[in-house]
Amino acid sequence: MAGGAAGIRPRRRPQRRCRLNVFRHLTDSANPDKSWFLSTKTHFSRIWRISGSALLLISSGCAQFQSTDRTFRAFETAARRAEDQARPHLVHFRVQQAAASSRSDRRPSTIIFSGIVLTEEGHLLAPFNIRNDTPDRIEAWIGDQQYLARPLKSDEQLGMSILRVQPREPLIPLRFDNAVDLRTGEHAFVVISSDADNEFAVFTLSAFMQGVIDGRYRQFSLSPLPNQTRGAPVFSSRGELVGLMSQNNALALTDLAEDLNQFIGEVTGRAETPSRDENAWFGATLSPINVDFARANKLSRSSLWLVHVFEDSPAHRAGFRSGDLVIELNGEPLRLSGNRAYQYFLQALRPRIGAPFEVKVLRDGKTITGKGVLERRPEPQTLRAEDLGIHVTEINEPLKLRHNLFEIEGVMVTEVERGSPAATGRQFGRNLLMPRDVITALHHHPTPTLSAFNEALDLIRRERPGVVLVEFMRGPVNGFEALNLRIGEREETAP
Amino acid sequence: MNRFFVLFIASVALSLPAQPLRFDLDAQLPLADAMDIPIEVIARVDPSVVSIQHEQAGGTGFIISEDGYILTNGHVVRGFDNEDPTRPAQSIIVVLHNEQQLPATVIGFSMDPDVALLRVHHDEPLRPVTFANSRNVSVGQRCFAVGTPVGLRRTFTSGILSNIDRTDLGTEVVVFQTDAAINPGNSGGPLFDQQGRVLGINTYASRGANNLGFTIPIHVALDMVDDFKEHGRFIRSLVPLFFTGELYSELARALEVERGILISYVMPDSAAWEAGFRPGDVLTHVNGEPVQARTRADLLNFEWEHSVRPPGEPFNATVLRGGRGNWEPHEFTAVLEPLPPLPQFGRHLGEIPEYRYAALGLGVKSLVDLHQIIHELQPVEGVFVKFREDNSTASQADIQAEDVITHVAGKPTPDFDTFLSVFERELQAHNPAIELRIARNHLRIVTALAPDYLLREVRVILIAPNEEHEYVDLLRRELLAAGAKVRLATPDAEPINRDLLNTPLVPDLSLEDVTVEDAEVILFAGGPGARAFWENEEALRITREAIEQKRHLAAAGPAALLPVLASEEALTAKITLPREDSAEAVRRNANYTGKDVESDERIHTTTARTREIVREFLTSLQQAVLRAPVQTTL
Repeated sequence: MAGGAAGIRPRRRPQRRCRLNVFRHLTDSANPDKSWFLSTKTHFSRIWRISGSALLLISSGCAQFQSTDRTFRAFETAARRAEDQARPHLVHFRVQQAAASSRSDRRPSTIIFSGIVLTEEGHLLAPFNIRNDTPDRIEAWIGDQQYLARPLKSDEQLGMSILRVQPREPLIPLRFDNAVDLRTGEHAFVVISSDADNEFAVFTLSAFMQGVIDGRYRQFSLSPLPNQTRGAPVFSSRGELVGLMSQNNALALTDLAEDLNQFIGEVTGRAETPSRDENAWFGATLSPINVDFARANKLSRSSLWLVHVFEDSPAHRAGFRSGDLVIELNGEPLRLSGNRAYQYFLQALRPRIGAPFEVKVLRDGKTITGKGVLERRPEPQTLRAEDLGIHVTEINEPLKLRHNLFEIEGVMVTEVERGSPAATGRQFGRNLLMPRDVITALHHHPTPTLSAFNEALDLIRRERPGVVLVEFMRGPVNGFEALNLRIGEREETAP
Repeated sequence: MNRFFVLFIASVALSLPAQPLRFDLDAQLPLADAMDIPIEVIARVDPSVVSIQHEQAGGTGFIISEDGYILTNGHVVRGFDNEDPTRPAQSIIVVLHNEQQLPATVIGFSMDPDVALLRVHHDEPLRPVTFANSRNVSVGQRCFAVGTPVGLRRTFTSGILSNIDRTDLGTEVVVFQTDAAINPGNSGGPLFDQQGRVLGINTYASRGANNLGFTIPIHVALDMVDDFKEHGRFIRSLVPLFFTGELYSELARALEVERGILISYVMPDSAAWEAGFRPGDVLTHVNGEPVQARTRADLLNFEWEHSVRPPGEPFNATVLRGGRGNWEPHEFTAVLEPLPPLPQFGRHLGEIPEYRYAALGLGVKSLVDLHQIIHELQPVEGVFVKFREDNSTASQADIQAEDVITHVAGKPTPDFDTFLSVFERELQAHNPAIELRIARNHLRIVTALAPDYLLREVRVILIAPNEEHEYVDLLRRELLAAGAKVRLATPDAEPINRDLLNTPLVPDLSLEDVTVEDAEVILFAGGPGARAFWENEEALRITREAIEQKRHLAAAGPAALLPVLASEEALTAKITLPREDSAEAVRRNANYTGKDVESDERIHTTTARTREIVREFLTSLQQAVLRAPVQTTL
């Protein structure tokens, strides 16, 4: 079986001399393109003959070539089972790029890739981000039927899109609830679609699993395959669904399933909440643990510090404190290390308002589990003070941290309008006020809040003073400036 | 106006027919009358202007005393030492007007105000300049500059004072602006008035602009000279720590105050705070004299006049407090204190040396109050991370520049000496992951520094004279950071003081107790004081035994002559040593190569001219030790 498996990978450089001979023989005699595909039995018998004859010549170090007819038959059965499993759900996508979207010096080109059927009503999964407004013509071939597909939604994190066709009869969706993982060295079968000779065709490729690449979605690294496998389903040798092909590897469906179901639910209207929301808020600043520190203290190098837990945030209500170390999210240990661990956490949290989370932390050597629900990120109120030429925002804790503010009893300048009283400084090119200044008093009235600032502004509008005193903090240092609200108007000279 | 115009036409009309136009080349006009600057003035100032050259750059200077003091710009003689910004350029040569060359030493320098004082020794009295009163000058006044622009010696250029209270350059003092051509190389040269008296030191020119030269008023430089002579640095006096602002007309109107100086910031818990000053106060009188600043120039002049007063003087202030409509006078008494060494900011290079462990990619400094303002650090005690190399042990530990290290291995490190003793103890113990707590903005971060300890199997005996020399400590800490077990030996086990730190280096051994069997590397170091080792019996014994027992023998500076003195065998080995001492090596037929770093099997020598060379020497030594480990006989 090992010899046979090796035989379908003629591009891979063999490591031992005895293998080399076998490969040469095979690639010289067989059509190299066709030799990847296990469509006939002749290849197996040929491989068997070659390995058998090689066995006579080579030393015992190449014992892996000892295989039996039974092994080959099992291999063949597994390949065929994978093909049978995949065929009803397999989609062949054919994208004809519109002239405008391809480079001007090239003719419009055609891209082909595989996909799978998601619903009976005609939702299909494509392994690329395809914009809704793409000018490209997308054809979907399912069995002997050809359809025009319309992209519905694309998901950046998954790197996939859902498209819709209008099927003439119900389609057969691929179910990926019972997906399994591959072990290193195990064989996998990748079933791809093709439109050779303008006919829908299915090919089954074989590869073995070389190792796992960790991430939000684990990837099984497969031995080299031809390029056009993206989107193709991957099966184990027992015919169980394993994953979907990304660029070169199989994305583990055990990791993918939940997010994929959510994505399908969103598009078909079966799920009620969007999958991700920028405004969803956990309420803590996280920082990856230093790997040397983790090793020295026998901690997981994937853990994340809660360096700051904001008051009155979901994380705070869940019982977390600054200095806690996150080790698990939603019952699963964190993955990766360094900044990638942080990225993993964010993705695995699937931030959307109302999403529940369960986080396990370490505190003083004890584990503590806290539960909560993500909330809407508090948005500080902002205001444009056109009389002064500045935009200000009220200060909340996240803002204080982000801008390293020293004073929170005030309002922070976010923008200074050019040519305004706040921008007209005494020194060339330097404004009187600058973004990040925290205004603590305006026109002799303290401005600890935005409403107090607004009241001071109203007062200025009523009194119409020529100059207005602004008291502020710039970093840790106090500042005082007088804004001339009547630039261009002649004023009585100061005493 | 019209009348003048008519008269002018009439005079032209009258003169034309009377005198045919011609040039009389032979006519002997009195030269001095025809020139802007009289020839005797030129002749008088010329011998006082000198050219300055050193390894990095050059400029101009002028003699201010017969015994050889010379003023120039700080930037002309600054060194380019990232770890010790107080270090000036090393080999400075002054070229007199008669082309005579003299070696010069830097007495003190400052980058803002950009002034330096040099000293040369000359058998004959030198011709000093005379000074104008630069507090009393006017725009439009004629002036001329002398210097060596782009290396062209003795170039005279002339112009007028274009502005006399220029503050736009962000300098600490008001500067003059002139249209006399000032080019690179004029830096540090004098600007004279028409009588040949010095108005100021030419400093800046505006690149890409025409005839915009800037000159530091001479009174500013003269204010600094005594400090340079006495302390080697310029020391400002102030009440720590408050900032002032000018009361420009809008601000005066908004505050409803007529005159004074705004106190914009007072550092909490500082002496100024304790004395009673608060932000928003308006300073009206100091020591009974009214003060005011309406413009930035007023403010800079006020600040300068106070910062050059002697420390210890009283600062009795009257301030107005209460705000618009409620101003009430208050009196506060404080004392002027000498400002401690400055951190780097603006034009200042800073006066706080960095303590760098190049082996770890980490450089730290002691944290001062001004750091907290300049780098906007949240109030915290610790040491300041000045330098963090990419792809280093420190970057692996996620340390960033401008972090503050507050704890090492669980112990607080509120000051530099504590940090050092705790940190170096951890290095000595070869702790595989030294836990650090770091303050970064509002965040507190825990991390671990994991040094490689490449030399963990290597024992080094570092032998130095009792005198302070920066490279002794540099060698010690770099070896320590690389994991070597370093023991220090000095004659009679006397401690070595360290400029940077309050704690001296305490030796583990005296020379008599050094046995070479206890080490793989014997390392001699030290400055000129190490020449005493040439005749020190114990030093020679150690050297001889190290060679006989095939230890790595390393020597930096004058001590590099030791192998030659101690052993015949070493005469064939390639060595190097400082240029001043090379004659000794040549006289003894040593194999002197003159390189900065020399490594010949087990004998390693260096001139130790600069910190970079010492580090290069360490790298070479480390490679040699790892390549050819010493077989310790048991």
